[in-house]
Amino acid sequence: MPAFLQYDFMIRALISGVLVGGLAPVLGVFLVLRRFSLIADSLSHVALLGVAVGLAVNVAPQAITFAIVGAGALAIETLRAKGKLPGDVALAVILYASLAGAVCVVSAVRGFNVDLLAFLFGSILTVTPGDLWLLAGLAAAVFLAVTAFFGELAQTSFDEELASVSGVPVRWVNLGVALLAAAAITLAMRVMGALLVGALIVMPALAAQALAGSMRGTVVAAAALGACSAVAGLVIAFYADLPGGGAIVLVAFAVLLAAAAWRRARPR
Amino acid sequence: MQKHQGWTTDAPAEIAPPERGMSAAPFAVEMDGVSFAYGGDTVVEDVTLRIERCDFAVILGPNGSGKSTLLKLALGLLKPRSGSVRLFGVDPARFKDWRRVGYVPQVANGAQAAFPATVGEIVAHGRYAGFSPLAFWRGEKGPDVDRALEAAGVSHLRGRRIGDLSAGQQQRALIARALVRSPDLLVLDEPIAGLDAHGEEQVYAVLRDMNAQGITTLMVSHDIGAVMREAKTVACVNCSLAFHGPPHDLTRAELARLYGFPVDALLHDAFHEHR
Repeated sequence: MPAFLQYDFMIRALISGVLVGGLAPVLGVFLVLRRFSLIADSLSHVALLGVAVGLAVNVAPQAITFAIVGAGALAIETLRAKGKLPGDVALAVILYASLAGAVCVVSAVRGFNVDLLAFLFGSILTVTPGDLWLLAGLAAAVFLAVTAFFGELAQTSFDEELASVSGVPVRWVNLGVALLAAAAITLAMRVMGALLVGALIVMPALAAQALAGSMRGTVVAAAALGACSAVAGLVIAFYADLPGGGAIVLVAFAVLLAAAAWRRARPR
Repeated sequence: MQKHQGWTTDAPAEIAPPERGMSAAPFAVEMDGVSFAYGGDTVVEDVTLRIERCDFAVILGPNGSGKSTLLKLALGLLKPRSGSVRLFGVDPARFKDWRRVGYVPQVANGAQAAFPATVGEIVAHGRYAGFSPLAFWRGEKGPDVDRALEAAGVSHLRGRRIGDLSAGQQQRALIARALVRSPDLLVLDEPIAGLDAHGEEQVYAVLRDMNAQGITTLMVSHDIGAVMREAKTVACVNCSLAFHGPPHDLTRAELARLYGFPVDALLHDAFHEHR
């Protein structure tokens, strides 16, 4: 048995890595195709505000974090859909407002003794069995949502007006995607950290887009590449004594580079 | 073998189911006193227009004249500032039977990038008829998809990614996506923009076929010559409606008024003789 499988914390880390690596890029496929990939980055900063508020009031911090990230996701999507702000501007406004809010909450609450670095960079090696159950539940929810609403998700990603004239409830689909992204970021942040969770949503999705020949293939490939990147990254981190989140993202980046090179070199 | 000018198909592809097209409303699209503005900029002013069933109607006008806006108003993608729009007799905001409408935008957002869907998948999207929990597993196969691909002349492109195709091929793939719905009304926004003469003829050949099968066609176009040749009725728009009727009733003077300068178009009389 390999050395890294002899430790319980590594087994939990590998399971959480496979779950996060499998679910995050599946949502990423639809975010990237909508040119909305930076929503992950904005929501992860909203999540910092959520963590700060949740820990400050010290009641169900994870639920409070999800409520705040969900509200942020709905606000971004509403601003974008109603044309009040261009998509990238809406992302920037929510990101900076949340970050400022998080800084102020952390500063204002006396005795706030939490290692914010763990939320910024993640701590995959301290994942608890409770975290694993939550991640497994979310992965199941994402799997069911994406397979059941695949037609709606694919059509709204391709062209919203075209989807609307086909009878797809575009507004509800977009709100659903935003809320799923919020849930994924809330739980994945524990594993990957606020600063890196967006990378695992976007990079395997982009690599899958380069490799796969179809929409279905892209979704399956994104999940597979994300999960494999997580496992490979964790094993490298174990032997090279590197932080797990950073190693996972660097592997995902290498996979993306290889996929882009393959797409460029492939015969047409 | 069915033969069109410059393009052949090996077998005629029947698309339109006549039964669904026989509801009570006599017009596919009705607009009464419709106005619309983007902010303070009025682009459609008091337009009253009716598109009859089985018509091949073309909306003609200079750039920025509100042609595409009219299409979006007809489809409920925009709400009029004043006036009313009806799609098969129903306000588009309350219209439910979207299977009756096939829409071909000038450019689909996803077709511009390296969108990973194949032509087959894009065409299969057109079958959408509401939530289907097995959509992911259902795939793109089906005789309806086969027929639509064949009718649009893109069967050979079925497995290609939409983003890898030329503009003309993408346009015909989008037409196939619209046709797979077996629509009663086909709405197209400048389907020949950016196409060469061969690509244009391929698209017109498909539209001619579909209209002959009873599909009402409403199209925006810049191409005056093709409009004169293909359309049954023409609506000339420059913010307001300047002319609506058969193309052979359209005079050079009216065209010149529409565009603001003399337009040398090849006009036809009622018997399609040049005049």
